[in-house]
Amino acid sequence: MSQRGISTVVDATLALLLISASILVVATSLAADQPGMDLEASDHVSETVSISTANVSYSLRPVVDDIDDVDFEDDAYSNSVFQRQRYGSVADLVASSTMLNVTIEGRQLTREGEIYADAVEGSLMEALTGLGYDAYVTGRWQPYDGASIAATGTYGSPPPGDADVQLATLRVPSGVQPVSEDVEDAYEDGYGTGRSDQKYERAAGVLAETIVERYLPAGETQVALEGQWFRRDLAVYRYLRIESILAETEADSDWGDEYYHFDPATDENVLGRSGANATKANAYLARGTDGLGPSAAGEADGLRGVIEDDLKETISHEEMKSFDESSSIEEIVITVRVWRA
Amino acid sequence: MTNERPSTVTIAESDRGRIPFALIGVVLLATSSIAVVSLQTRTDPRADTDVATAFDRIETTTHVTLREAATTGLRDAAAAPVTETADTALGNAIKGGSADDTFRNYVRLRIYLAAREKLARTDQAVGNGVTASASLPPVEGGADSIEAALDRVEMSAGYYDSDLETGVVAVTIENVTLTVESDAGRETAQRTFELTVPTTVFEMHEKTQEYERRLNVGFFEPGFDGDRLYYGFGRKFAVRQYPVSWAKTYFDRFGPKKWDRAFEPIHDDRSTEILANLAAFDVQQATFGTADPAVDRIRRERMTCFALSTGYKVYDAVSKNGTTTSDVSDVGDVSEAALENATDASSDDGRIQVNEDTLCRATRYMMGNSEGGLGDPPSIRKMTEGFIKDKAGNVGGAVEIEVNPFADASYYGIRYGDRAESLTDLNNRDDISVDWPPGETDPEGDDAWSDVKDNVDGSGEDSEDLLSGMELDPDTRFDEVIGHVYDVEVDVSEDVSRDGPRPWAPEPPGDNWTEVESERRYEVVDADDVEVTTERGPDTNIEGDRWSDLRNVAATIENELKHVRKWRRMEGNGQNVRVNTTTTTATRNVTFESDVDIDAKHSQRTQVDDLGTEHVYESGGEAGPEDVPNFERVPQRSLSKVFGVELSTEDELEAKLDDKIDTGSIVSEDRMGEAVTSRTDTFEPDVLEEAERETLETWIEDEVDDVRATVKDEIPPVEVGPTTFVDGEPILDGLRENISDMKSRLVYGDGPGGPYENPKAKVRAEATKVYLDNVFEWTSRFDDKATDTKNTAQDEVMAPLDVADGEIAEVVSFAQRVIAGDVDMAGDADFEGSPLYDDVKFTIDASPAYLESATVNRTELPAVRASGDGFTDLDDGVEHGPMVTKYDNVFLPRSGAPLVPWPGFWYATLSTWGLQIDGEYARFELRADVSDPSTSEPVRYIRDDREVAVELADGAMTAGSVTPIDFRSDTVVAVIVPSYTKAATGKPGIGDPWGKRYGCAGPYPETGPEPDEDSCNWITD
Repeated sequence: MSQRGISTVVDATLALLLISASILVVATSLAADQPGMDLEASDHVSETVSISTANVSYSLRPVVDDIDDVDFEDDAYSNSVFQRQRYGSVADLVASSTMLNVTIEGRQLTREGEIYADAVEGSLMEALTGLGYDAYVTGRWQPYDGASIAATGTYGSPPPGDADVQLATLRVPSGVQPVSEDVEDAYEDGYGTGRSDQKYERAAGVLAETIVERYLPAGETQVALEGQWFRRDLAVYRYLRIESILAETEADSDWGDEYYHFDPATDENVLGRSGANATKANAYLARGTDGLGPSAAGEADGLRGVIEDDLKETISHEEMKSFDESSSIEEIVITVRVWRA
Repeated sequence: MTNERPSTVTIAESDRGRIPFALIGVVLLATSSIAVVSLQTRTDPRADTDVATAFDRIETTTHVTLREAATTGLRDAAAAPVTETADTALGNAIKGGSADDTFRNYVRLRIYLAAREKLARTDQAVGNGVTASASLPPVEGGADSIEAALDRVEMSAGYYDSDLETGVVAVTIENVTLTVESDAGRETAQRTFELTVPTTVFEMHEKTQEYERRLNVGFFEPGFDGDRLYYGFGRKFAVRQYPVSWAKTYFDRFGPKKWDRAFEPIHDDRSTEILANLAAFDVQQATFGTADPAVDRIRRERMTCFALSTGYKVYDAVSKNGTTTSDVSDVGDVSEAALENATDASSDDGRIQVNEDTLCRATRYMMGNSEGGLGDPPSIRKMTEGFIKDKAGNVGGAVEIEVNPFADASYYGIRYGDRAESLTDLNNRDDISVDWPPGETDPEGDDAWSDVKDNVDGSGEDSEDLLSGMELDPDTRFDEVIGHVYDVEVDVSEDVSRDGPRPWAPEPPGDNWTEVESERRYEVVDADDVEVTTERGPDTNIEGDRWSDLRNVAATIENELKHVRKWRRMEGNGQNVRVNTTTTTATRNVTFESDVDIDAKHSQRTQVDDLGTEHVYESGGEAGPEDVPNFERVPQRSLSKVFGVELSTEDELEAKLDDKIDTGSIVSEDRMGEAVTSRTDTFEPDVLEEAERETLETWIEDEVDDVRATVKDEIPPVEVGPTTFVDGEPILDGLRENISDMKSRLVYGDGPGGPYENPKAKVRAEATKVYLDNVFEWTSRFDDKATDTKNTAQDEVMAPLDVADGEIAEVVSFAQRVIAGDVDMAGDADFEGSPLYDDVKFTIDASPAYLESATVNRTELPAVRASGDGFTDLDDGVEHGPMVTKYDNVFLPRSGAPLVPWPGFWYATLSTWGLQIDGEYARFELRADVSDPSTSEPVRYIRDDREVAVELADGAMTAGSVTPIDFRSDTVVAVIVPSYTKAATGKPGIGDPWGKRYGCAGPYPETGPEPDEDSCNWITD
């Protein structure tokens, strides 16, 4: 019997409004006395984005019917299995939403984040418009320059041409391990082999493994694959989605579709219930057939192939040796643009 | 709920979400020393480069990062909830006073590590070469470093700390270093951050701990949470197992003889396993307010399996000609078509041999196929009532105990107690034609009895103990009753007197006469006859225990007495002196009288009320055989004795006394006294001749036999519920009350308590009273023996089980209430979630959801791991033992112990089993739908057998272990059925047949990873 008068969000926003108003009053008087001590409105806004919190409930429904091999329609499901919620600062919500909207060569990795993104936008706008601003917020994760695998999120509409726009940027963790030094090492090791293909391949391998682990953490995924129903379906969904994207990126190669090692319907398969092996499945996605060991058949390259192509194309030998300087794999850049509504 | 969320924020489902926002406000205020300038003064976007602003920026982003770190730390801790620490620097640092304390320390560590890691990735480039960063020192393997890290994190959690709501955690992280670098150099500052985040982790932890505790609660320790008495596994299991045990036992006991035992053994792995799992599901529901979603299907499948296999056993026993699916489906309430489809599907060649196992396997097919036309499985209650009870009669109903054996036993005791030592001796005496125990002509009943006799306490040597209390040693037998009534005591007193003075001879004339005193004497000159007068005392209406006049006899003699005195005198002088003598006499008539007072008392030692007796010292009255006298012989016999004469009538007394007494010698009162009475002491005259005594005894035997018939006829049996046999309270109070109620009427008659008609009537009253008291006494001896038996059984059953507080009576009484539908196990439980979340949905995911009494490997149960292994350590060779069900007939003879173990008094039979359920989940997971969106995986609290290492700055270090949910619960099953000797239908003996041992002969295997597979008791089908 919850008697609710007021929602948490409205409550929070109200609190923020009141506090902000008082600050503005103080600021106005300060401004009159000391016009030199200005604080940018964008800082004020980014502070709001950082500190105000919200709880976002959302559904994973869009994954249903997204691919043929996972139908998400077991009888045992109730609708509630699709429901999720996340509590965090608005910045955290933006960051996590951004990371979910990851693409490989423009192909969306999962549809889990669709409704979440809308909900995050809603809470963001609610927080900012309360302050009297319009806002356009973008989140961007780009592990390295020219990456084909990247995540972006945009919230709100771009400012009109005549708006007086303030800009602030915020860097928050992406949840991807900071492996750029390992990448440098791998590159150097590959270079040491004397084989020209090795240096980029090895560097790309480290990145691919790290990124796959970010989206399919082996420990969690292992348990999910061993489980039943929705949680298992969802893990299988991500594997199959990534697999099919990778297959598409290689589709123009001579070898055609080389991705045939995933077979969740067979128990003994790495995606099967009793044969579940997330470590192996991850290695397969990251390094293709090589990830399955020397005896595996096929010529799949995995995410490593995509990344290797990127690196070769955009990052010079010198830049690879100091990869850490240009990499931003561990952070998301959130850009906040605000203007008076 | 099909609502796909609109692009707005959902409203929190709580009315208490304000504290955190107040906190936000506080933080905002605290950080609002920053001056704010309105937007209008700005013209174009540009980055700020001011160092102070950079500090503000990094402080703000650090706040974001630390909040996320707290969430991540909590989440990491839940996925690997360490409650047992390793002996490492890390383990020792987080070791707390309790598992909960350890867990909280561990959470703090996880938060610190997450905070440090995330801060390291959030350098902020503010612009113009100014960068800002936040950092915490790395945690290295040394104790100091770990302690310092833990010291920086303070945490109070809503579940434990009263000033916070459940689901809210306040975290303080101290001394975070903020650094700003610019061309001007490097500046640092230390800041302390306070955050409030929602979490379900502690509630999940507590609920899961509670689940494990409840699983570990045995039947006899229900009170771990006061009023939630029935929420422990022990009771939840009992509420399912007991009615099944009772129904099976009753079915085997009362099934027609031609049936074999359907349930041998009564408890088997499979059915115990099923019921134990159902109980565990119920404990889940009671603890979490929800159960594993797999439970629904499993419950249906297993219940159906249980119903079918139970039904199969019943029908298999009823008809050895083979069972058709149609028979079985009647039992299980499933459609025949569905069953046939299922059995077809489960057999390779399509031709199915129906047996218990195939039926169970078949149900999996039926359930696995959601289209199966299978209705709801029958409930246990329906099963026991529906087909077992129908055939077994009133399961757990009352046993009727009639007064008959007590009425007979006491009759035989009073009648034959001088000839037979015990009831069972009655058969051995040629002169006693009594068969005891009564009505036991069925050889199977005899067998059942001898089985018990041989096997109670494991040896026949104790049978004397068993029979103690059956001795025939009544306080009073019939002959003694007669002796007590026909018992007259006579008291005699004599008073002798003289009427008038005796004569006195004078002195002779003259002087100096001296009397020769030795010559003085009385002589009877003229002797008279004796005259006797007799006064009769009352003959009627005399109370027993009081002296009453029997006869007063006065004897008188009037003699003429002469008094003679001799005198002498010296006469002359000198040599002429001589002696002169003379005599004087006097004569007179004198009367002597002896008054002899003869009093009597009778039947002083009787137990009946002394109401007086009508005809006492006379014949008369209708009661009793005519040729047996009252006490009418007493007066004459008493006179004869007192006066020492043989009288044939009282009238002869005077003549006989006259003959006897030499009246010429009566010169004084003393002489008179000596002459009249022969004895004046108290004596008991013979009242009955031997033949009369025998006649009277025969009569009284018949009379009391009539009383026995009346008692049997009028006293209704008492209905005794099973609990009464073992609770130590008196069983036969009802009989005793009735005996007491009728006693007065049977002893004294319907009238208003007048005097007994004659001594024979009193004999009858006395015998009746003695008899009824003895019946009463027998019922009490029975009760005492029942208590002894109960105590013996209690000791033998409980002692080996380490459940010293356990009472058989509690077990039986609980079973009774369950069978009667009187046990309400309903309870509610719920998750609170967090005020900062919307309603949180929790999901239980147990591996296995159903704990089988069979080892499983990873192929069958993907969660199986070797002990200590992590999620990604995979080994197909490892086995896991989810459940071991231990059951053993506990010490009592396997065909049941008699309550009470006296032949003829064996009304009920007790059988007991000790059941122990050991279980261990390979993995028990609780999920909340609070997710990290990047993986969509909900927050997971996972308990399994896992070692946890934590990555520190200089390598991984073991923190401790996650412990699996591992439980053990003890229950005693006690079943009481009416004994075969009292209800000779079906089969004698209950429980598991004597001489056969079921269950495990060796040590039972342990549950959990890598159990001993060769051990017995794993189901291998």
